[in-house]
Amino acid sequence: MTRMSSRIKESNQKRSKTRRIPKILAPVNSFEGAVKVIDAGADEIYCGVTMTGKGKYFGLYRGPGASPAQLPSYDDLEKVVQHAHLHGVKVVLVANEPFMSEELEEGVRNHIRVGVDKGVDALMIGDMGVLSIARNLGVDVPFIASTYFVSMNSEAIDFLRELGFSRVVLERHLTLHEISEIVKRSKIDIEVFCHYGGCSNINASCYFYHLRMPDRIKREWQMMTKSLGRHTAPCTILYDVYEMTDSGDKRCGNAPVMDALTYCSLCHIQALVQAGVAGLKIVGRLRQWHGYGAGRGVAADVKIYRKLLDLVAKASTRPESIRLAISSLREEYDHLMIEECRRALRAQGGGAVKYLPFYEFYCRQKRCIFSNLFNAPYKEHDLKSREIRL
Amino acid sequence: MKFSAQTTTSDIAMLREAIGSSCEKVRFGSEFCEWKIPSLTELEKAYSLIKDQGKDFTYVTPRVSNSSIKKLVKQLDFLDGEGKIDVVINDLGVLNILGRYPNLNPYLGRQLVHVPGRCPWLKRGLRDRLIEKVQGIEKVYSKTSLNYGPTIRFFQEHGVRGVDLDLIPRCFPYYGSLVKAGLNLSVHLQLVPVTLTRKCHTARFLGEVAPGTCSKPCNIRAFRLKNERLELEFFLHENAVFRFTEPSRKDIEELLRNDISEFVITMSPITRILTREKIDGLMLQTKSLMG
Repeated sequence: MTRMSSRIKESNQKRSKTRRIPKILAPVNSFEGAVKVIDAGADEIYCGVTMTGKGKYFGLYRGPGASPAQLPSYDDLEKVVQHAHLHGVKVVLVANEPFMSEELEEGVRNHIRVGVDKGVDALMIGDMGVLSIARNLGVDVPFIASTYFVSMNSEAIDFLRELGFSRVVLERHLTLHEISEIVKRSKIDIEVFCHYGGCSNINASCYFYHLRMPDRIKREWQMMTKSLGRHTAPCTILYDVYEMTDSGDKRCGNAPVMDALTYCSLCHIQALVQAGVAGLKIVGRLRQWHGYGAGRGVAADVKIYRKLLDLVAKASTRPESIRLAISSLREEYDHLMIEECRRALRAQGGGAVKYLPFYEFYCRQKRCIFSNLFNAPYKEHDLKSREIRL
Repeated sequence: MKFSAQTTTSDIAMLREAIGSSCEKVRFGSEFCEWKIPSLTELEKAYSLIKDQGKDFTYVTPRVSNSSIKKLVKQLDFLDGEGKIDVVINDLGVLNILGRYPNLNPYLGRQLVHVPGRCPWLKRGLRDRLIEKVQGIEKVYSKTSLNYGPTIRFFQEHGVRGVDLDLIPRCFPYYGSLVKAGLNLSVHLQLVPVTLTRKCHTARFLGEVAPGTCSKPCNIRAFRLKNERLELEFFLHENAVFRFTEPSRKDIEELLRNDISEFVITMSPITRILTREKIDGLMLQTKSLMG
């Protein structure tokens, strides 16, 4: 065991003995990414694998199936699992499309069987059909109910528990009060999304499949994403809005009406800890694909949440220390991400890229996950991005 | 095959229009927004008005948080005492609760059935990636999540006897097998939901501050959304975004061949179907396509 892995394992063991704080769950889509997020302090990682056979042509959301969100092969999964276990980190295999059909059955069965053989610690499931496949295989790993079950109340949690799930990921669009109520009444662990990918819409009912966008639109949007330094998607773009009336349509604006994306919960961490959530889930298996290096964007997220959670875990920490820490963590995040942009530019032999600093991207736009449901204002278009040039 | 008018507010005037139409059934409640769940008093009144006119009553429920569950439980207590009633459910928690009510039949709502065909650019997306040429996979994108045996069995074991679906022609070949498996099928004419949210897009656009104080402008207002790059238009009503479809003669014939039990007409500011005359007009138009 290397000195670094020994250090990480020790610190993970120490945390798991002393803390009453949630686990940090981080996404990976490559072995390099896994190394980075584990080093940054993730307690658990989650990943998919591109399915073989017909399954490799299938994809609605993040998988498994045809998507750059996945690890490329089961050999990569094996490497990831070995590395994670060496550092005391658990691996969750995602098998969570909200859909199943006979044509995909063999691929999903193989996905689960091989994943469990490779040593994954739990399965993330988002559909009753997939649950039946996992049950019939008799695999001996816990099942986690994905956000595709849209769990928003205690009755749904009880229902999923009775079906054999040992943990539930709540729907993103719940308030702190609602989460706290659910956790209080739940007999199983509850996870929430805490950072990035804060969809405007309810995932399982959103048919704006980004992976199935027509090529022309996708190309245009990828260019816009690159030039603006933020993701462009059907729910972030501007729409001409016409009110429908008896006397015909009346134009009443041009606005990103569906842009209610909320991304960050740094300022709500203490409340989430008090609510008793078992896991804080970071999103971003596709961030490598969006131009950042393997796992580096996610590693920066993990790092700041890790530091803050460790601080919150200390009973002696005062609220003002936490506020100050959040402020310095934002700066640390910017530093990490600017370094990452430079690395990416070096790898492509130069050029320039726009980077939206943490404050501009999250705070100025009030992109707070756990504030009032109608809190996120429409995206401002004069955000001050920094140009990183090499 | 019956026609059903579905109201989108608890407004009694709208309900009276639905009752006054030629529809055999009336659906009351809220499909998408938990903050538009009617009060118990409104439900009791609606139920008695609908039954007085000899029409079938169906109660429609959305996805709910704990606070709305409390509200729903009182309503379900009332409905269970009234005899056999279909309750459209869009939440697993509500399905769980319905297990305690012997008289209430769970009817699977559109949010509990995943239908890739609802994606507005699916055809172009599949074509661009040549997926439509991969044998066996192209049809997966035309199915519903209920077309998988264990999934439909799961819901049937939990008492589900019917399901709401949409007017999506690419999916029609797979609707028949759901009927053969024993489910009643209701098909919504016109509006296909493509996405929905709890961070209500209508409320935010109109400057509402919080769900608890929302003035519910969606009771009378709806919006058309256009983006020239997408080459598509959407319709925003309440917390949901729809695309609009109109059935052709071929569509209706295919649906009838599949033995569907109900066409649902949604009373909405999008379709401007807000009066009994408009409901009857759409019924006549649909019947004329039945040949």
